[in-house]
This record gives sequence, C-alpha cells and structure tokens, in this order.
Amino acid sequence: MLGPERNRVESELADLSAVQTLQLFARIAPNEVEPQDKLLSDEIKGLEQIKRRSNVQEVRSLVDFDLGLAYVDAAMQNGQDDHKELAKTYMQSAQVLFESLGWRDYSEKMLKTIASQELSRWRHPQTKARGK
Amino acid sequence: METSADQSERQMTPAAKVMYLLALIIGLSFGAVFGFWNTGLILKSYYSTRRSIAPKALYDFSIVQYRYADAEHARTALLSFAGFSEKLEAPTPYEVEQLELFNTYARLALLEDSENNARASQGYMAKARYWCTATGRHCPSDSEMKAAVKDRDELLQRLGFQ
Repeated sequence: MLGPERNRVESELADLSAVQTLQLFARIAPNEVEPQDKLLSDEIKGLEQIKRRSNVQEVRSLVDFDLGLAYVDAAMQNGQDDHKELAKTYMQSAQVLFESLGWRDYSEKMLKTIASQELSRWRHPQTKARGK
Repeated sequence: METSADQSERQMTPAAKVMYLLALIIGLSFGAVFGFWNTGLILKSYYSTRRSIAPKALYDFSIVQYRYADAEHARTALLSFAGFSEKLEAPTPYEVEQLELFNTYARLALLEDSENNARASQGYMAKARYWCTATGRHCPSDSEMKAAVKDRDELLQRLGFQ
C-alpha cells in the first residue's frame, strides 16, 4: 500500500478500534463500576464524535448502527425510569438512523428486539440480572 | 578538620572522569537503543492486534445489514468489508480471515440470487471459491457452498446471534 492509501486504511482501523472500545465499555462494564446511564451517554458522545471526525463512509455507517442501538438502549432505559418524552425522542432518533441504513423494518418493536439481543449477547448473566 | 591532602585524594583524576563519562555515554546509548527496540515491539504487536480485530466490527455489521437491510444497503456493507479486508490482507492471512471473506462473497452471491442476477452471483461465487480454496479445505459445488452458508446464517439467527 502506498502513502495516502495506507494513511486512509490506518485511519479507518483507528476509528474501528475506537468504536469497538466504546462498545466494550458501554456493554460489558458491570453496573457497579459506573451507572449504566453514564456509560450510555459516554458511548453516545464518543460515537457522535467519531461520526463527525471520520470521513470514511464504511465507518460512518457502522457508527450510525452503533449509535442507533445506543439510542434504543437509552429509550428503553428512560422508558423504565418513566421519562416517556425523552424515551420517545431517543427512539425517533434511532428510527431515523435505521431508516438511513436501509432497514426494511425499523419499528419500535423490532429495534427493541435487536437491541435486547445485542445487550444479552455482551452482558454476563449476573450483570443482566442486576440491570433488571 | 580536613587537610588539603585529604581533599586532593578525593578529587577525581582525569582518567576517572573520562571513564565515568564513557560509562554514562555507553549506558545512555544502550538504554536508548533498548527502549526504542522495546517500544517498537509493543507498537508492532498493538498494530498487528488492531489489524486482526478492527475489521471484525465491519464483518459483524455486514452480517446485520445482510439480514435486516434492503438489497442495496446489504450489498454495500458486504462489499465494504470484503474490499477493506482484501486491502489489509497480509502475505499469510489467518484462516479465520479467509473464511470471513468466503462467507461474505457467498452472502453476496445469495443476495444476487434473490435479485435474479445470475451473472453477478456466479462472479461472487468464483471469489468465494478462491477464498475457500485458500483455507486448504475441501470446497464442494457452488450450490452446496451457498446452501451451507445460508443454513448456518439461519441457525445463528435462530440462536440469537446477529
């Protein structure tokens, strides 16, 4: 690989690593280390930063997907805490992102199912139990 | 009380000064070379790990898009992963990377089948076969390979893996 191409690939690898790190912190860190809403808001801020900074389309689409999932998580969490308006705003933001990703079904029910699957894939059973 | 004789005994001779200076230069040089070499090794293993792990995010995303998005967006995600992974390809890629490329091209072929693009499907299956052969495994016919990928994708989805 030559200079500019190599730089592009390195920058893409760096952004992908940053996205993975944010995923790990937000989804694996046990609840007692930091409150879940703080981790989620850090993940959202971090992903929004990467999206603004990255000029690689592949990375931007991946960030949109992760950001969409984080919005669905935030919507579910705020729904549980009785912040209905905030939950609705987060869910609408998520739906805009999933629509832009070409999803055939981006209904609230579908997105909640996918987000729950994704969370249960990452979290330890003990953490899941505490999160309930 | 110190005498002038004691003081002169404690003064370093020029030869000792040169020796200490040389020892300092040699020590610092070895330290710098060792530090540079050691940091180089750490950075090398960091970049090598990142090169193996980071594309996995694009691979997982391509599967999600293949499963839930329309054909155009699914195709874009699958091709993005394949293009990026092939660009990164090391002289001796890991088998798992070759298998991911095989799966991706087989999914692209299945996608083109569903859009009735037989020609494009054949082209992607040729690439899938290339990567299957690269793993050194036995590669059955195109239709068998596509059926295997389709079955496994369906099984993973039933088990709740995205």
